[in-house]
Amino acid sequence: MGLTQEEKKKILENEGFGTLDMLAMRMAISKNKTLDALIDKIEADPSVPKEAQAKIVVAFANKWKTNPDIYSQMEADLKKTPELANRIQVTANGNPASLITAIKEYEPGNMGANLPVKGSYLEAERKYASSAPASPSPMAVVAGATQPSAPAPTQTASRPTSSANDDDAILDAVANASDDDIQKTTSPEAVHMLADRIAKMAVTTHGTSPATANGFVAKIKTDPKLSQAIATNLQQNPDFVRQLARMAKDKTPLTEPAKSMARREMENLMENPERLADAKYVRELQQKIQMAEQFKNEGIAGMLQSMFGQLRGGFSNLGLVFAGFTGPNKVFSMVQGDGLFPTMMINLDSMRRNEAVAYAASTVGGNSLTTFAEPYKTVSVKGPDGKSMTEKVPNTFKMTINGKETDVVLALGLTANERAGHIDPVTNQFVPSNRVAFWGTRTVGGQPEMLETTKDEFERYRTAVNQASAKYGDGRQLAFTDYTEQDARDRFRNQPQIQIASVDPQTGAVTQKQVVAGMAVTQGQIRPKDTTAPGQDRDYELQG
Amino acid sequence: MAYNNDDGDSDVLAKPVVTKATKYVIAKDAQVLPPLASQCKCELAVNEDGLAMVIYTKTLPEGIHWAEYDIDLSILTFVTWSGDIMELGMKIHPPFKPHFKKAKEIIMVQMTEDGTEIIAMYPADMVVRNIGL
Repeated sequence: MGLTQEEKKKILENEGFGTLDMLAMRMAISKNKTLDALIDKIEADPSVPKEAQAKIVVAFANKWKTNPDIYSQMEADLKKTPELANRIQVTANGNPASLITAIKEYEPGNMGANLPVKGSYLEAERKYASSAPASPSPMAVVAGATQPSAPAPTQTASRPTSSANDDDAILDAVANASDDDIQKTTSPEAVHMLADRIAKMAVTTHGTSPATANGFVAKIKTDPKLSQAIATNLQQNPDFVRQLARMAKDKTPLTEPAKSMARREMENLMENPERLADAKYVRELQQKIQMAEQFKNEGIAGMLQSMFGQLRGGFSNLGLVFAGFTGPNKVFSMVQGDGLFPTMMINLDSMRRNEAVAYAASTVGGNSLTTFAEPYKTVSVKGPDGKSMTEKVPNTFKMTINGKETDVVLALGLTANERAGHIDPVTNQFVPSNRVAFWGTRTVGGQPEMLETTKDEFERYRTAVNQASAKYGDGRQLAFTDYTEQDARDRFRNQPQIQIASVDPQTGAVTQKQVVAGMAVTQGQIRPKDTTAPGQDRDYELQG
Repeated sequence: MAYNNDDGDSDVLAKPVVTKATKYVIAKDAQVLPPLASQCKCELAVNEDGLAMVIYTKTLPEGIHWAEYDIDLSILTFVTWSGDIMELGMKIHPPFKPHFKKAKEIIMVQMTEDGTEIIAMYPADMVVRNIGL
């Protein structure tokens, strides 16, 4: 019985090999089919003692460490002298110490010279044919976390070179490697292996030209200083290494805009491999990949949400670009028909506000808004038989919300009377409003929402809530703060303001106007959207 | 074995990297698509720092690789990833010139036909050509 994968992994780890080293070795072996098949055969031989197998594994690994091309040279020797494979196999069985010495002292062309001349081709074949299948190649340990240690199904055929399963196993191993593992084992050889994977992904997934991909790999492999610099940089960015592996493994077809973004980034990287040694570039690319992953998972809304999260932190280039379109700088805009640009900017602003609303809503439930002892009241109704009966109904209050009569739960909600006035951007004067917005809920246990009503209706509601609280609850009064001119000015200052210079597409004539979120231009006057169209929620409308 | 699209082998044959100088060249036989403005509602927005954005309301058959602002001809041309070309379809009037010529990339933003929601957005490279005719 051969070594299990876990045992092989442990043996190599004890020899100082990390996951990426093992991955690179695995790749190196799997590219050399004759050698790969031979190793499979040795490991399938139950008569080779475990201790000897362990030493053979270590000997192959240590040899690779001194010369990453050693397996290709062994492959060339095996192809040049086919009987060598049988001699090696027989030696492993009968005299493993000699094989280990032969591996240690191997130089291209001398493999046969270091092997004892014992056994025969036929003996080896017969012995091999009768042996039970054992575990896969020692280098399969690189996929130890994902590949079961089941016996290899056949020993007569080598694994296909770099098969899809191999790739997935390798990428899985990297995607799950610990920080420590990546930091210890990201050697220049491991970088070569990663470069291979990235280039392959660029060609097969993103349509990068093979010539460009080959140039990328060749530049890294032929420049030891560059390889080392990349290794050092990647050691400091283990998240990026794992992210690359996850991305390479993900076979989900990309859709626009992620597709174009990814292709563009990949093209850029392929042409400038030295960027992998640039910490700033790697961090930026990591952000972009994160954005792409989020786009795939959550769609454009999720991506934008994330973008604004970053925008507030000032980390997102893309977010900063959008921020650059607001403020005192003029934006020259040319459009056939109605303007799309202000809508888009206000859309983004709405999304930012929605984020705050969603956050608030997620932290407070409808019941938690209700402070009354009895959120329900008992009413008398007529039953199906015409007799009077009692029924428990939500303790609601009828009032006009957004122009419609609505049942609202009497609750000590959060008040947000921010709609009670605005600053006119033209006259810079405070214009009081008759409208009030407050947090409430329409059903007991329902999600709180921003409800809009008139000042008079709100006063009715406030009185009812305070009376109910005194009667059934703890007597707290509905918190309410007047919306002052200062509040309006603060809000106005914080709203995105866009100075648009509209260019007539026919004549080139420029007309200047200012667009502010929450405002609408009606008959030449800029005013709050809700004063021109009661009942509408101006947060979600075109404001330009 | 070199990389190709149907072979999973990862051997490498070193070939020279495609040079940067040839990157933004429109092929002589490039297919010409109808101007963007003739296909859908679209808008060009450029701020004074050269931040540029094109907003449109139709799904394009392919992503835009780069855009070329030809100052001499006052036109903006988009080049898709497979090399097709498409003009904006509106003359780039002089007020844009001092700002647009500073642009290094242009953000492509697709909105719904009614212009109320963003469907997709991504940045494309910008190339500014000015021979000085």
